[in-house]
Amino acid sequence: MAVPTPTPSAADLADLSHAASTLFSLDDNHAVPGVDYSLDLQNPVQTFGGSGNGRRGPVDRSGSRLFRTAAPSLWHRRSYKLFYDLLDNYTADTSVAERRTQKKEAEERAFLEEVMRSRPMRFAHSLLAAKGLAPAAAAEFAGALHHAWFSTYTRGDTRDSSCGFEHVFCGEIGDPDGDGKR
Amino acid sequence: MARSGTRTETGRGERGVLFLLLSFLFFSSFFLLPFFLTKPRIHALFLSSQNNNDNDAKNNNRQCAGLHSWIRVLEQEGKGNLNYYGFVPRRGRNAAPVAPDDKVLTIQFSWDPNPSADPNIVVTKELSTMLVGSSPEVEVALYSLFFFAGVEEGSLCLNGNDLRVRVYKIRSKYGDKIGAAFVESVSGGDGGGGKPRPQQWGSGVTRPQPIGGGGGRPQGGRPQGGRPQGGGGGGGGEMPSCGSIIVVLLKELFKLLK
Repeated sequence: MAVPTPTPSAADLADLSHAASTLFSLDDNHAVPGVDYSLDLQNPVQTFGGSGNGRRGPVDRSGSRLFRTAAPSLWHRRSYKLFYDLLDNYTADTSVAERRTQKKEAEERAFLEEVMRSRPMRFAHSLLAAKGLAPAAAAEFAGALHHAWFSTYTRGDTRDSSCGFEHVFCGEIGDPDGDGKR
Repeated sequence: MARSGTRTETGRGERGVLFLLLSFLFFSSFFLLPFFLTKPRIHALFLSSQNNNDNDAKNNNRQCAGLHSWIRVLEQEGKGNLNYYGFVPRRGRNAAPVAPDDKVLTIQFSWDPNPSADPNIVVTKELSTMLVGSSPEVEVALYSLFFFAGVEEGSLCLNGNDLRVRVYKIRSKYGDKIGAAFVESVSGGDGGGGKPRPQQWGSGVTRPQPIGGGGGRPQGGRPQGGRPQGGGGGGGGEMPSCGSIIVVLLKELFKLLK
């Protein structure tokens, strides 16, 4: 909280792309390649542009892992740890409804609280509030964030089988729904 | 003249029989309609084997959706659930080669989130673009910004890389939710455009109404018919039922008999 909330400039308020770039530059908690993690890219792969019958599927062209190293100190960072705690909260299969528990909800709230404290999110909040696109009060905005990211909805044919956080960050497995969204 | 006249008469007669026969076949086929539409097996029997192939493909071709977090990839790889296949090179003449310190990476992998499950499902993801090294909070903040702005397809310039940001919403009367969110590399090297046009802010989203000061608790368990929007729909909801078709046909038949 010692770091002051970055104030959006006129360019940020006029141009969303500019605002997004500014937001990204405020990430003072990013991991540094070669220090916090290192990648082993290995070989390029071919893409086929969708999957269909009779199409040759993807081929494994890399024998080793992508992440050669990851510093254990990453998990000592609060937001990384809280994010990690959320990863095992969901069932990837979209034909299975998610089971909500008190523990999961507490983990979600703890993570969002930490995100709300970060510079990028405070910047995003001040922008959205200035534009009248989100509630200005922090508690109300946190509630709106929780609804957007964690309230469940139907994916595939199963009610409450998905939520935004699960889909975007954890990934899901389901029948192809053919809407082209990845 | 006479010969031609008789020929036309017999022609008419044949046509009449043919007409009766065809109309009988046509109308009788309607009585079989319920079987075709309600019993998938009978339906499949009469149609070509293509239908069976489709069903097989549907069962085996389960897909990986989402998963755009480098931390998730790191975690799943560490658990042995994710097998990295390789990276996808950038397209475009002047595109920079993919490097291990890139902030954005497109990769291919196979994924088995639950190896101990009995029908073990392994899926492959052909293209997954993700930010690498970014903190969880900046990713949540970025996607939230586009979501609340109501912009589903935006852009972002990151270290000289032009990225497309896509945030798709699930419409809900309880307040819109995030359906999908990811970044994409824009194929570089075209270079002819000069400065990109500024991105307009959108008109926002439908927001949940705060309940008694509790801060908008989600309504868990309520039927919220959210489909990823834009999906063709293709519902059978507007088709008349087989029963109604038969009732109408029978009514028409009675009218004709009267």
